[in-house]
Amino acid sequence: MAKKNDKKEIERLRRENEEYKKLIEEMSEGFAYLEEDLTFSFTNPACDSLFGVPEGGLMGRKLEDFLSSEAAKDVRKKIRTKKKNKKNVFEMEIKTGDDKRGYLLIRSNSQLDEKGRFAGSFVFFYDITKRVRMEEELIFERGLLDSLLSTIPDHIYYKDKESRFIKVSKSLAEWFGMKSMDELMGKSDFDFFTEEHAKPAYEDEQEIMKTGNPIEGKVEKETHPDGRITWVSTTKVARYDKKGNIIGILGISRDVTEKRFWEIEREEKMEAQKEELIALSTPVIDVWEGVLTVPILGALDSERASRVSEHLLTQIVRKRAGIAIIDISGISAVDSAVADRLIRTAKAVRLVGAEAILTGVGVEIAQTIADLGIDMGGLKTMSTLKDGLRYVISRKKMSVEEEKNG
Amino acid sequence: MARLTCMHLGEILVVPIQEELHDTAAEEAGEKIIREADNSNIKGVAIDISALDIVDSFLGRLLQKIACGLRAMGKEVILVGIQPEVAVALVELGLYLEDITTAFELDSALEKLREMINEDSK
Repeated sequence: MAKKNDKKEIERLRRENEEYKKLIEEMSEGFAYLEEDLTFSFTNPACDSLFGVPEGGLMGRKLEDFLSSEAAKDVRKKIRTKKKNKKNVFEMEIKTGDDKRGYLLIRSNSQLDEKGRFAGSFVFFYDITKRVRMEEELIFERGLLDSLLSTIPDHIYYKDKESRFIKVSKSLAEWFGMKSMDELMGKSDFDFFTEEHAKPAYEDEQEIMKTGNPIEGKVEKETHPDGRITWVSTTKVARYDKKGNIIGILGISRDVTEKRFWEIEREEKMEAQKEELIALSTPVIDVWEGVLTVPILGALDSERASRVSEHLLTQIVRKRAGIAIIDISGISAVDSAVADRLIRTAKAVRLVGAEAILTGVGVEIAQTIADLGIDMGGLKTMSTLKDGLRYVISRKKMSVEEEKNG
Repeated sequence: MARLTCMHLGEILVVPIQEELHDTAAEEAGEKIIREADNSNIKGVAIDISALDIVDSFLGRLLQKIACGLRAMGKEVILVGIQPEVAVALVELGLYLEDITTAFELDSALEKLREMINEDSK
């Protein structure tokens, strides 16, 4: 009876043993037993594959074979601890049998002999290469980002949905007179600029976050509370989270103040030159007491026409000229817009208190006017400047004689 | 309301418009001019707008209306001192005011007005 029981017991133990072995062999974690000198004396297939050796290839080799000399010292110390039942978990870098770098997380359970000395260890290995690589990558990218934010002179800023700064470049912090980038956190344009700039910038950003459409290279005028004016060229885009929702703004602005002031100066100069050119190309000649003549030469586009008419009207009023002769014999072509403009000018001349006479209306222009059916509105026209002058002189004579007689 | 001062110079009523007039103020000014001119001694009215830099379409049309009304009452009308910018603006608005006589300044306006009145009485 007892024998039968023993047999059963042995059978049970054998089966249990088989099951444990199977469990260990099929485990995805690496499992090994390390002798007192850290020689592998048992490994499961997962452990072999972690170390990059064929199955059973670890037997008799030392853990140190896979470590750099510095790491070996450290690892030996950590594994050969006499503290039992204490969580002994750490990470190490290994060079695998097939010459790759890998990272393992180790959980070691020290075994002590009866005298309390370290006798060996059951060790679990977990592959953490992927995680470590990702961390390394993150650190690397973080470094890239940091170097970008701390060195690039352009102003870079991340804003949240309410257009508050959440991260800015050093250059922007300095631009705002702050010592560190952190001082800007949670502040917005309204804290640094006057409403004149802060408001449209805020509206731009809200629009970008609504539509997702970026702003590129927009030249913005920045007005500071101390009255300073600066100009920047700004590009702003929406920031998205992983799900594709817009969560804020990323912007980059370049200081173009100097360039802009130079441009403004140039524009002003050009404007002044344009004025001069108009005055030069449209001489207003005092031909007689109270009689002005304006010969219009060259092509008359509508921009030039309106400037000519302004110039003429100003001169008429300044000189109190009763009669203005507009001579168009020098005009190369007249289209409907120009003809219309000329007639409007003549009508404006009458409004300020003078009489306008249009001379030099040649056959071609007369035909254009007739074809276009333009209403001359009682405007006096003469075919040549000579006729115009003759008419004016005769009228002047009349009034002089009238005065004498009167 | 803007104060509108009308000056009587013999048979001529001089109305200087000193500031921009809008809507009701303009209409009231128009009425006042007509009422002041409703006097058999007044033969002509000179409206001086030389102080105005801007004339909008409303005021432009109102000027035309006033002139028309005065003309209907048998008065001569002259517009004085239309600034170049104003002239350009009026023309752009299509307000040529073709039947209203114009003058640079009050002196010549009064002269012209007297001539016109004399013509009438001939």
